[in-house]
Amino acid sequence: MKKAFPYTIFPLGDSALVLEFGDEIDLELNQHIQHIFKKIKQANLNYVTDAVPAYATLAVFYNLLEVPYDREKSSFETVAEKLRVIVENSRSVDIAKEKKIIEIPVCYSLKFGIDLTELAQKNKMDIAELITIHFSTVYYVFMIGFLPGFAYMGEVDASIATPRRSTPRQEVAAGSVGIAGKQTGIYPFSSPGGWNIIGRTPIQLFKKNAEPPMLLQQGDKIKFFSITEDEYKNYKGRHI
Amino acid sequence: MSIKIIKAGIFDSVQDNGRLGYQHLGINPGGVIDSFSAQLANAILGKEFTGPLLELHFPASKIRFTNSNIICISAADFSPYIDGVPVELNHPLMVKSNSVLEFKKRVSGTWCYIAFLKTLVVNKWLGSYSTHTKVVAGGKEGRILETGDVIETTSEINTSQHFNWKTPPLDFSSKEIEFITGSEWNYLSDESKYNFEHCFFCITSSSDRMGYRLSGVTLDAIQKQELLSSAVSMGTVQLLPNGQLIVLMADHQTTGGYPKVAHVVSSSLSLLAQKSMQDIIDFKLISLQEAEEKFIKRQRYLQHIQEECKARMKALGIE
Repeated sequence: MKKAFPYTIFPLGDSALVLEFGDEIDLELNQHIQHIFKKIKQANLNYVTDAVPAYATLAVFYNLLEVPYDREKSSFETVAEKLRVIVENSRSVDIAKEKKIIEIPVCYSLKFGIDLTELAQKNKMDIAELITIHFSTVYYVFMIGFLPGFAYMGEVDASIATPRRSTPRQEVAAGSVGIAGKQTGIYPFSSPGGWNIIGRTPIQLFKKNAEPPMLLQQGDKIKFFSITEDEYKNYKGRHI
Repeated sequence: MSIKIIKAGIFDSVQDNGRLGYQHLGINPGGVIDSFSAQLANAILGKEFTGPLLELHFPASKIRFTNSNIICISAADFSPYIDGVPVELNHPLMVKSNSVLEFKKRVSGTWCYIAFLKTLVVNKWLGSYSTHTKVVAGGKEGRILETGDVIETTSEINTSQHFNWKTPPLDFSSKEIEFITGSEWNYLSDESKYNFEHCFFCITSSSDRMGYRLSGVTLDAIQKQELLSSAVSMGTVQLLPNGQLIVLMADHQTTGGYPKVAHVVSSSLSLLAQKSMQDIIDFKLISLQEAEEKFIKRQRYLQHIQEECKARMKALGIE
């Protein structure tokens, strides 16, 4: 028996809606959402312009001018009904093929890991221990959002999970690896940000002319490995 | 065949209707911040809505037309002059080679559009000409326009024909911004819900293409729990931890974790986009069905203008 995932549908403005399957970080739930995301893509509905899977939700954007007109109901209802059919027919989740683990080098030096000291203190351990815990886990990419190619990965071991900084930084350098709650992530671009920064990867995560333009996709498994500052310099400009 | 930016404005860029279909990769649609006005500019020239155009902010770029072209300026009124002569908005304009377009003062609105009959030749990235400054892609080298920039046009056109059509000026004076409730509307206390609907909010100076930050009465959430990140949309009104609101605009991030208390409806986004610092807005609740109908009606109007103007251009032998 497959687990049933109850959901609700509500509008996200007048040209999008959200299928909400829950409000927690859960691997099985997230894989179910990915499965539905693929089914919606495959259905190739001419009025669907974008579909955005997240942790526990899937947003679908549509072009109101293309939605089949029905005087009895709103376009939202028309789209919601169509999507309900797709979800109902997507019960059997094909067991995701064992994905290859993508390995990502990280230089966990104090120069790059600007919050290492604070994080180690907060979590009452030494820095080396914190780093080891971070790179010993295989992480799963739950969603992409915030910035182009920014992967929300989890879950971070409870012993090093740390809330976002109360005041976000004006600028976090591209390649920075951070922790926010039970999530870990890498900034593909320099950006303002509130995650606790523990290191930096020399890997370019987003290449605008590549297809797809980004290294990490929802559903990927990734593992970090530690490199020295010298190794970091030699990696510079190289891709996986 | 080209145009040249002889003096750059402060935030002028090449845009189109945006980059659809990539939000699952964290790539936001971007595109023009006032879609209605931008489409109108193209429609008056009888052109497709999807072509690239210039989006200008005041003070705006001063532009030399190296070659003759037919353009339409729409939306915000920045007092456009061509070779020292004031010109009309929402009307096709014959621009001779070597003439100079400049904008003297802001009369109304915040964003102005220039559509070109002989199209701009600019970079397309993931199906769109919109400038993505973070990725540095699309438009003119993925950045805002700079002094000295030359943008090619497909060809040139010269005519002595008179264009006997224009559309009424767009009126951005109304304060009324229509909204529908968001999924976290019920996070607001009853008093805050009342205040949202009945108090004025002011556009603050920290507003840009990403979002318009509002100042006004502090709203409180009865539920304080942190939300999991999920998709947001242009027009989404988020409640920030300090009790103030932000309305997400064209360059918004794809996902967010703040409570989504409301959504500005699509048919009000043009009006909101054209508000500027210190302007007052007044939120008005409408139903989802009304919101859908209003948007469809506005798009049908644009389609009508486009078909009509296309036929008129054709009748003048211009294509």
